[in-house]
Amino acid sequence: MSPAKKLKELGQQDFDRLLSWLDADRERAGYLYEQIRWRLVTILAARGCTLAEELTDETIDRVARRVTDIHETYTGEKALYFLGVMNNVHHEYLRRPPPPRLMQVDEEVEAREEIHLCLDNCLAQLAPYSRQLIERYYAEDKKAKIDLRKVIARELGIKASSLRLRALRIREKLQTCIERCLDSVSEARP
Amino acid sequence: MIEKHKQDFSDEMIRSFLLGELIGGEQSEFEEQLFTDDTLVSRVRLTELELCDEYASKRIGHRERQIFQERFLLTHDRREALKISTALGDRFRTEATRHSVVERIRNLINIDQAVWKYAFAALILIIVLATTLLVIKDHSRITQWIPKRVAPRPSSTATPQAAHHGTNSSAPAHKEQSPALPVHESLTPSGVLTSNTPIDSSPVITNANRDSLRFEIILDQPGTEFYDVSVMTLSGESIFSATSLERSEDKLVLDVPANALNAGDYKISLTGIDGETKRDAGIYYFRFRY
Repeated sequence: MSPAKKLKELGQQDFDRLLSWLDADRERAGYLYEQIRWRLVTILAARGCTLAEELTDETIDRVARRVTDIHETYTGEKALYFLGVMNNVHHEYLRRPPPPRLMQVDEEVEAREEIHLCLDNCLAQLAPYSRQLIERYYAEDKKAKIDLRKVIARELGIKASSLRLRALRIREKLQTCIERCLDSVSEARP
Repeated sequence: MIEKHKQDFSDEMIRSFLLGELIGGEQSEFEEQLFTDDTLVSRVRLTELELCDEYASKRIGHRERQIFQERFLLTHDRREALKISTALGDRFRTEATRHSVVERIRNLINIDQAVWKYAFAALILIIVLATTLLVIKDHSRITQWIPKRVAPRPSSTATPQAAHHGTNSSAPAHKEQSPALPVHESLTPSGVLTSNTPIDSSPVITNANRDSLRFEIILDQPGTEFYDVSVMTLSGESIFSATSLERSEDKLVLDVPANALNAGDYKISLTGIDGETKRDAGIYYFRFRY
């Protein structure tokens, strides 16, 4: 049985208990859960784990099942508890024979079109200044791009590092917007 | 609880972490701080997107590309992020190609840049200096450029035509000639002198604001062609002389500078020149008054 399947089988009661343990405020707990999940995936990927997402789900599943036992006794940073469990899950994974590497399927034309469509929608939602900045930041190639970014930074009167941060934050907004857009497109698909 | 000291990881270390290139101690320290430091989480998220952008726009080297494919693209979210990076690159590079040339030229000739201001100032200075040098060294060439003044030619005024002339008759030809300009020789003589006229009845010559006085001397015996002339006071003091004056029919024309004469009585002595020999040709008197 795959770890992902195990998480799917995680009962609503266990999941609610996990969120309550993370924070009494349901919304805040949801945010913390997302943060912890992202951290686990990122660390497992950095370790070269090809099943980072599955092992993360396995980790969360195990923590959720133990919350009843630990919620009164555990002291300290709760997120770090996940890290400890994840280390165990990862060790177990390493002892298993390596799974066959999945062949990367070429991106479908339809999917690519959807991304471009969502990109247009999300760009239209940006403030004019942000849109102009991101357009210029992503223009040009290689050396020319680096030179252009210096020019943009000079025009704005900021350091190149500050420009990078500004552009990447707009890029992050775009990423979130496009992901939501793609989700809604796939939901609307018959 | 003892709070651990937070390490300030560099951007390079974050990249190394994401590409799975941190070594033992660094890796575990990074992992632990990632769970407790929200700022680090934010930086790692941005660097993830940046790596996707760089890969999509082929801005990372061959080795890093290989690591990216093998050790970074391990999660669904990252693969999705890469797709969006590719879409962003496609979109803006296409637009940028249209504007890039204009942009580059604009940046190149950005008039606000101080270097251009200095360049223009230097150019103007060079032009001024070169012009000055040209004028000084090659004045003759410059004078060629200056148009010469041409004196206007004298022209006659058209004769007025009567308005009542017949229309069938041709206009009368303009036969009037331009009046000849007065020449020096045609000056009116100040006096005509004849020989054997006594001083009392000799002509009185006035200056009349002239530079010179013209005398027509009537010859008694025009035997020779050339004459020497001497103008003297009555006491014999010579005040002006002329040699080898050529006869014109039966007279000689003599111009005497007015400033050589004072008010008084004068005589002109003529000597005819006939080859090697000279002979007296007469005495002529005149009176000069202002």
